[in-house]
Amino acid sequence: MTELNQDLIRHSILEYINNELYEDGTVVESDDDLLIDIGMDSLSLLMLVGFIESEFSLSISPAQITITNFRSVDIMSEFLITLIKN
Amino acid sequence: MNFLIHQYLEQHASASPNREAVECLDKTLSYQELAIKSNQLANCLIEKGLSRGDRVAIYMDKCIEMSVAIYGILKAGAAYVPLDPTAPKERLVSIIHDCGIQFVLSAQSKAKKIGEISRSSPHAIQVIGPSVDTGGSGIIVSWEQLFDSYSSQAPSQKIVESDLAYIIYTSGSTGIPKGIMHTHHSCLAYSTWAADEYQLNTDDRIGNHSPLHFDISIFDWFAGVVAGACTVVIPDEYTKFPASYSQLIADTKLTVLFTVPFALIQLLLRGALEERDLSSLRWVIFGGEPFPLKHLKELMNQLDWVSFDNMYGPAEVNGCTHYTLDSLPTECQSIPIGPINQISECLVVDEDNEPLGSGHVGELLVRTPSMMQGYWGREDLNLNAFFFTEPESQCSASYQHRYYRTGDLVTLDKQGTLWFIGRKDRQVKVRGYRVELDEIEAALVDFPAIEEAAVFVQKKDDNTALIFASYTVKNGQRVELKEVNRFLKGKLPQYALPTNIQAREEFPRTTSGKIDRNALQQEVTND
Repeated sequence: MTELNQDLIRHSILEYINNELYEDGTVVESDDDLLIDIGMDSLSLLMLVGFIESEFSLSISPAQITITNFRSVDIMSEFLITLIKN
Repeated sequence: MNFLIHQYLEQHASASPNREAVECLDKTLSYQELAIKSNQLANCLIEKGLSRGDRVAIYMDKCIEMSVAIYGILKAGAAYVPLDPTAPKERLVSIIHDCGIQFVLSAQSKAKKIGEISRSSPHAIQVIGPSVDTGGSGIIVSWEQLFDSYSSQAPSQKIVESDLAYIIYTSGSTGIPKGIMHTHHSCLAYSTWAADEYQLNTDDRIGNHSPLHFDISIFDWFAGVVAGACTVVIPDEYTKFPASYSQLIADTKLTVLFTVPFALIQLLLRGALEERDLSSLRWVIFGGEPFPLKHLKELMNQLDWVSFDNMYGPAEVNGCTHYTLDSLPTECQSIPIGPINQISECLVVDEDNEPLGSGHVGELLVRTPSMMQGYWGREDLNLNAFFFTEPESQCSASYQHRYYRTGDLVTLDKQGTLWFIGRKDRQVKVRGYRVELDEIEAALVDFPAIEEAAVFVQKKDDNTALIFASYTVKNGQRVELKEVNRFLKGKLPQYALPTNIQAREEFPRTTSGKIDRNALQQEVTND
C-alpha cells in the first residue's frame, strides 16, 4: 500500500471536490479559500468530512473540524498529515 | 412608543451613546457610532438622488457595515432589499429588475460579482461600498469616502409607519421569486412583541445567525434594537463549522440565539458543546422547520439551564405562534408550534374556508398587525394570499380585514395549541429555507434537451433534507450531467440545488398518467 503523504492527500481531496462534490465544472485549486472563493455550503462540508474519514480511515473529532483546519485544501492536507502522524 | 424602526436606534444613541449596538468578530459599533454612520449613508443616498419609497439592495456577506446599510436605508425613507450573496447572477438581476433597484450597497469582497450584475442589469445601478472598481460596476462612493465626507446630522426625510421598511424575496412555485413587503408598522408589531415576550434587555447579546435575506434576521436586528441589546453578527463561515461556531458563542457570551433546527443539530453533533462555556446563553429559539425530538431532547439535556422555544411564522406574517418548552418532551411524537401570540388571531379552515373545530386538520389562517402589506407588484398572488373577512372592495389595506393563508395544515387542540401536520402544496424546508419543488422542476425543464423532470426530498436521520431530481431526455438528444448541474447553478439559490440528479429512460406513472413521485421516493429509500 502506498504510504500516505501530504501530496497524496491533497490530490485525493481535490479529485473528490472537483469530480464528485462539484459536478458542474467548477475547478477548485488547492489554495482556494473554500468558504470565500468557492462559497462551499455546510452540506458540502459535511460530505467532504465524511469522504476524508472513509478515504483515509481517520476519525476526526468534532472539535478539530474548524475554520482554521479546513479553510483550503492545502491547509486541510497539512492538518490531516499531522493528525495521521500523531 | 416609537413608530419607526430607526427611532429606537436614535433613542438608545441618545440615552446610552457608548452602549454596544453591533459586534462582528473584532469590530464593534456603539449605538452612537451606528446612528452617526447610518445618518451619513442616508445623507449620501439622498444626495445621489434617492427618493422616499425607493428600494435599495444590500448585497454583501455578513459584516459590521450591514448594520449601517440597514439603518442608513431606513433613515433615507427607503426599503432595504437583501440579496442572497450566494445566489446566481440571473436570479439577482431579476430581483433588481423586479423592484426597480437603483442603488446597491455592497462590499469589496463582492466587487467582481457586482460588476457582472451591473453589466447584466437592464437599467443602470449605482453601487456604494467597494473601494476598488473591478470594471464597469458603477461604484459611486466607497464606505471610507462616505464616512469621511458626509454629514452626520440626521436627514430630515418625511417617513410614516405605513412606509415600506424591507422586501424579502422568497421562492415562487413558477420559478419567479416573489417579494414580501413589510412596513415599519408590521416590522415593529412583531419586534416589540418579541422583545417583550422574551424579555430582551440592554444586557442581551443576540446572535445573528441568519443571513439578511432570511426572515429570522428580523428578530436579531429589530427585536434587538427595540430592547437596546447588542446584535452579534455570526459570519457565514462560522455557521458552517459547528466547533468554531460554538467557540464563538462562548467567546462572545451570547445570551439569545434564534436559528433553524439544522444549525442546532450540527452544534449538538459536531459542536464539541461539552468543551465550551455557554453559561451566558438563556434563550435558544428555533423555527423554520420541525425539530426532531431525539436531537431536541439531547440538546435540552446538554444545555439544561437554557429556555427553549419553538417559534412559527412564515415570512409573510413574521413569528405569530410560539411554544416554550418548560420541560423535556415526553410522550409526544412532535412538539406543537404553540398557541397564537397575543397580538394575532388564527382560524383553522377546511377547503371551503369554513372554520373547523378542535382536532380537525385544516389550513391555518392568520390575522396579525405583523402581516406583510403584500407581494411586490404581484396582484395575482395578493388575491390568493389572503382570506378577506369583508367583500374585498370594502377592505382597506389594513390587516384587520384579512387573514393570511399560510398553506400549512394544522390541528388546533382544545387547549388552543396548534400542531403542524404538513403542507397543502409541494413546498418543503431545506435547512430552514423555503423551497418550492415545482420551481426546481421548472428550472430542469427549462434545459433545452430535457423532456420531463421530477423532484422530491428525503430526510436523513440528522434531519438533513436532501433534494433528489431525475429527468428524461427528448428523443434523439444527449445531455451531459455536468451541463445540467451548471445550468441549475445559474438559476437556483444554493440551498435549492439538488444533491442528487439522475437521468432516466422513463418515469413510473400513476394510473392517471402522472409521474409517480412516491414510487421514485420509494426507489431511493430502498437503495
